[in-house]
Amino acid sequence: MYVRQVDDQILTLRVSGKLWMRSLVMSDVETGTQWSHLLGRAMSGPLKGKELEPIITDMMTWGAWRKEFPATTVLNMPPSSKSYSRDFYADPSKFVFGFEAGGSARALPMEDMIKHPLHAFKIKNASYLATFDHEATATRLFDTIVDGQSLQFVATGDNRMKDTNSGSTWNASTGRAITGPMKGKRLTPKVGIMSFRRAWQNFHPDSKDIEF
Amino acid sequence: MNYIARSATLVILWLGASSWIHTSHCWGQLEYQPRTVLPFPIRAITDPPIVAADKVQLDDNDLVLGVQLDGKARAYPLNQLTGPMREIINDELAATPIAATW
Repeated sequence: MYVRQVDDQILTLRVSGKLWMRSLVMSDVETGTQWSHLLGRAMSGPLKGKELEPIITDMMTWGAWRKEFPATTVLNMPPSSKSYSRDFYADPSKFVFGFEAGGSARALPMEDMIKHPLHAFKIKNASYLATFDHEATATRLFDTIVDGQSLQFVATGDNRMKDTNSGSTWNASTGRAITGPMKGKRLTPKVGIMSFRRAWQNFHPDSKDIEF
Repeated sequence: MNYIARSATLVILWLGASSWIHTSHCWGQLEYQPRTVLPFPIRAITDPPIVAADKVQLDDNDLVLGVQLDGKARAYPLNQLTGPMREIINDELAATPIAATW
């Protein structure tokens, strides 16, 4: 999911008819530039070298999304015959949650995420927290610094967690504090993408797995 | 050729092409070597039909891509974003032009 704008120009993106490493190449109607779908980068054409800004996107169940955002709107086009449901993750080893940190690519193996739904880690002194919500099948990545303080979390079950700094209780999936001194605070979400492991590795050959 | 037949041909071409293509890897630095699998681009999808949550027939277990911008939330059911004809939806949310794609 991208902001389809570069500098002041709004772009209309379409399927170019080309594939690169078995993945979609997009082209924009305005300039004909070819864009890598997974990298969001202009590979060829007048805008070569430009990047589209990625938007934080949650891949999760409709039921959980609607519960979290009751006022949501929704795309209403005829579906393809293929169904994408919770059983999509039947073989989690095929998936990673990929993201970029400190200029390099990292991948959270979904096999590990599902087994350890609350996982804190550091990359070059920056602290991250990844959470997996079984009910929603949602993976989310957060920065753990709130008001200049780096928070430590422990899981308390039922998709809740507690920070050991203030003792506040948080919703692990939304990253919002629901009770305690931190109530109302929110962890800053980070951009990541649920990707097929093979595709992620093709496009980010130097990507390293986060250790669990 | 009518639209459906043309779409079906494209789908077959697409599936065939993606299965036999050999990708060339250049580890460390990615070399842009696209393969042409369709002779022309697919027409862009703009002004997509967007409705309220209670106007759709979706199963609670269906996967969606959800986006929130400036307090506005929008969901894109995954099975509406797949297939070569509509992999990219040109949309606008909270006055931001966005491309919904997975």
